[in-house]
Amino acid sequence: MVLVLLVCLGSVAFSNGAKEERANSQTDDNRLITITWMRSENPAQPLNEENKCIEMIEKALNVRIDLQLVPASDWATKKSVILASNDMPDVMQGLTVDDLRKYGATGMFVNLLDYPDDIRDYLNIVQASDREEATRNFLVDGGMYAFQGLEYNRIDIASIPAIRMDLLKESNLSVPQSWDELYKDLLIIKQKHPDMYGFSTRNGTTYMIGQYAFELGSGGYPTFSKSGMYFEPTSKTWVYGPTSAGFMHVIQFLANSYKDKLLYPDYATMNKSDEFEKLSNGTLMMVTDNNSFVGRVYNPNIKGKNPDAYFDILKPMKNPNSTQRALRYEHDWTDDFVAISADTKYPERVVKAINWFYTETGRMVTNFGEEGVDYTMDNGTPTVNQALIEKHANDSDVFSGIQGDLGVGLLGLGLYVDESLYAQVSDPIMISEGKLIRQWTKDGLIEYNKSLPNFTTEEQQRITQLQNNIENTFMNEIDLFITGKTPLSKWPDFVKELQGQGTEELEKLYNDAYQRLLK
Amino acid sequence: MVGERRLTPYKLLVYIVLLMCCFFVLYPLYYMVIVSISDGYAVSRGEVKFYPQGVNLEAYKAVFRYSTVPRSYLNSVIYTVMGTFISVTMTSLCAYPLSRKKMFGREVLTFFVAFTMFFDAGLVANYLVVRSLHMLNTLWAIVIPGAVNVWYMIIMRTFYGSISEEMYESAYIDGANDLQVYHKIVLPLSKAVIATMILFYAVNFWNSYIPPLLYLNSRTKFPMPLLLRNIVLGSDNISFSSTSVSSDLSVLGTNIRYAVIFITILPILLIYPFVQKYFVKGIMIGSIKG
Repeated sequence: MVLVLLVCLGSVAFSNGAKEERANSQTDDNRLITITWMRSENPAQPLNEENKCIEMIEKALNVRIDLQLVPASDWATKKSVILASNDMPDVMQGLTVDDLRKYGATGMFVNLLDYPDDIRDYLNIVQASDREEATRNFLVDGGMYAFQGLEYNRIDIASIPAIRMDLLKESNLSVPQSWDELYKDLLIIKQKHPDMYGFSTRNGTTYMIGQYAFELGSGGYPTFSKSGMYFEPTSKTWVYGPTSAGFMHVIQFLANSYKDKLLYPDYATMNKSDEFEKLSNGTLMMVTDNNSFVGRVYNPNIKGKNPDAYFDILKPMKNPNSTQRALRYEHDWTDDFVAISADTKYPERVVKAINWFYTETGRMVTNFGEEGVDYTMDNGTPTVNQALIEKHANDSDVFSGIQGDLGVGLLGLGLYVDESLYAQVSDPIMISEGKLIRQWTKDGLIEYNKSLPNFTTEEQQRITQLQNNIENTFMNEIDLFITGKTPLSKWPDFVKELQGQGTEELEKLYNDAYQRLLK
Repeated sequence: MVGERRLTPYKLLVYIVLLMCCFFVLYPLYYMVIVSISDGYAVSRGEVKFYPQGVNLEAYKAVFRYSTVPRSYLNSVIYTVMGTFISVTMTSLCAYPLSRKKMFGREVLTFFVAFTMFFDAGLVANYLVVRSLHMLNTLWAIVIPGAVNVWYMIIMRTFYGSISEEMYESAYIDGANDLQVYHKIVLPLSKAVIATMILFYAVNFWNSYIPPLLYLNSRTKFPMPLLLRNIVLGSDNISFSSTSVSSDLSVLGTNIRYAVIFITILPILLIYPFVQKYFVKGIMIGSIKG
C-alpha cells in the first residue's frame, strides 16, 4: 500500500534521475574508474567483495570493480527484474544465450563488434576454427553482445555410467564392454543381492532418458533439456529422439529394467538427495550422472559402510547399433555470458578491461591470483602456495575455498577458465577420470552437446507451441511404457501420435535454423 | 474427582491422536537438529533417522566459516527491529482514523487501502518505484515498501472499532483531542493487538527474502534468509546447459544445510512460545469481529 502512495513521488524523481550523466561517455585517459559488476554467488564458493583478483585488476588496468553478488538460488529472478527494468550495472555476468537473444537487439548491451581493436585477444580465441561455429550461433542480428565464459584448461566432466566395481569383482565379472553385457551383469548381481536395484535417476523421467538415450544410439532430452530434440552427429541434423527408429532400444532397455527390478520402482519421483542416499548406502549398483559425484559423494560415503566398495566410470559401451558414444556438456559455458550495459559511462575502458581477462596475464590473475604470492610456476604449471592450501584445509572443499578467497575461477571473475589447481588439491580420482574423458572425447567416443540454433521470433513461437503439445503427449504416456502398463507393441502407434503433434515440422524448423548458421 | 481422572478409551484415543500430532510437528525440527550434529557421511547414507550418528559440530563450524553469517544475522535483527517498529507504528496510525466512523472520506480511503490487497503491481513496477526513490541498497528499501500490511491494518482497525464509544466520548468531554485520545486511551487499551502485530511483522521481516534480493546489491547488507536460501537451494533450481566440477554443489553436505536452517529459525523458535497467547488473540480478533 505504501508503494502505491510512493508511486507519484517516485515517478517525479525517476524523470529527473538515472541517466543524466551520459554526456561524459568517453574516457580515453587511463585514470582510475569504478565499474559495477553483477554476478551470482554459488554457495559452494563464497566470494569476498574485496579480493585479490579485484586488487590485481585495479593494479593492472586502473579499473576498480564494485562487485555486486546475487545469491545463485535466486539469480534468475534478480536478473529478470534488472533486465526488464533496464537498470543494469556496468557489467552483468551470468547471462544465457536466451538472454542475449531476448535483449541483445534492444540496444541494452554494448555491441562488442563496435570495438574490434579492443577485443582482439577475445576474437582471436572465439573465432578460431574450434569455436567459430558456436560463436556465430551466439550473434544476435550480426551483433556480438557479450563475452563468453570459455574453458582454457577444464577438468573434463561428463554424464556417463559408473558402476560398483567391487560387485563386478565379487561375481567374477569383467568390466562390461557393451550395453548387453552390462544388462546381463546387473542381472547376475541382482541374483546375488536381491535387495539391490540397478539404477535410478535424480530428476524425473525425461532426465533419465537424456542420460541413456544417446549412449544407446538414439537421443533426446540431452543434459537438462526438457525437449526431445537433439543433434545427431552421424547425420549432422537435429532429430526428435523419441520418434527416431533407434529410440525403441532405449524404451526397451528401460522397460526391461523396470520389469526385472533393475530400475528403482520410485524412479519417477526420486530427487537428488534420495538418489545420492541410495548410491551411498549400497542400494543402487550403477548410476549415469556427472563423474564428479563419484569421487566427491558416492565413494567417500559408501566406503564408510563397506571399505571395499567403490564406483568407477565406464568407457562408452557398444550399443545395439554397434557404436560407442556418450554425450558431455557443451564446450565452454553457454550460461555465463558477460554483457556490458549500453549505459555505462566508460564503454571503451570496460571492453578493453574484459578483453584483458582473455590475455595470458589476465587469465593467470583471474584463475590463480598473484604470481609469487598465491602461486608459483613450476615447469610451466602453476602451483598454489602451500599456506593458502593449509588456510582452507578445513573448508567444505579446498579448491572452492581458495578460489573464493582470491575471487578467481569460474565462480569468481575468471572468464577464460583454468581449473588445473584441482590437480593439486582434489581427489585424484576426479583428475584421472577427467583425463579419461578428455581422451575419449579426442577418440570420438564422447560428443559435446550442441547449443540450440538461433531461431527467428516466428520460428521460436511455433517451436514453443509445437513443443508444448508434443512434450505433454510424451510425458502423459512415457512412464506407462516404462512400467509396462502399456505394452511395447503399442510404441509404433505412440510414435505416430507424436508425429501427428508435429515432430517433423519441429525437426524442419531446427534444421532450417541450423543450416542458416552454417551458411 | 477420582472418576474424572480415569483413563477412558475415548481419552486414550484423544491422547494418542494428540501425541501423534505432537510427533508430526516436532519430528521435523528434531530431525533437523540431529542431522546438523551428525557425521556427514552417515547423513548421506540415510542412516540418521531417530538419533544422531557420530555427533560433531563440524556443520556449525563450517557455517560460521561463511564470513557473512554473523553479519547477515545482525542485518536480519536490524531489519526486523526497525521494520517491525515502523510497520506497527504506521499500521496503527492508519488503522486508528479508519476505525472512527465519523471520519470524513472513510469509505473511499478504506476502498483504496483494500484495493492494494487484491491488486499488486508486480516485481518490476515495485523495483522501479524503489529505484526512483533512491532507496536501492539501503535499509529503507527493506522496511518502507512493506510497512503497512493491509490485512494486519484491518485487524487493528477492527480492534480499535471494538473499543466502546463511551470511552472516546468521555475523553472528548475531558478536553482531549484525537491524538490525545489515541495516545492516552486507545494505545493503552490495545496492548494485545499491538503485541500480535509485533509478532506478525517480526516474523514477516525475519523471513523476508524477495525485497532484500531485489533491492540490495551489497552482500554485507544481506539478511539471513538470502544466505539460507542460497546455501539450501544453491543453484539446484537452475537448469544448467553446461556444468563444471567448480559449480558442483555436492561439496555442501546436507548437515551443513540443516545447520543453517536451524540457526536461522532459532530466534523465531525462542520467541514464539512467549507471544503465542497474543498470536491466538490476534487471530480471534480478525476472525470473530472482522
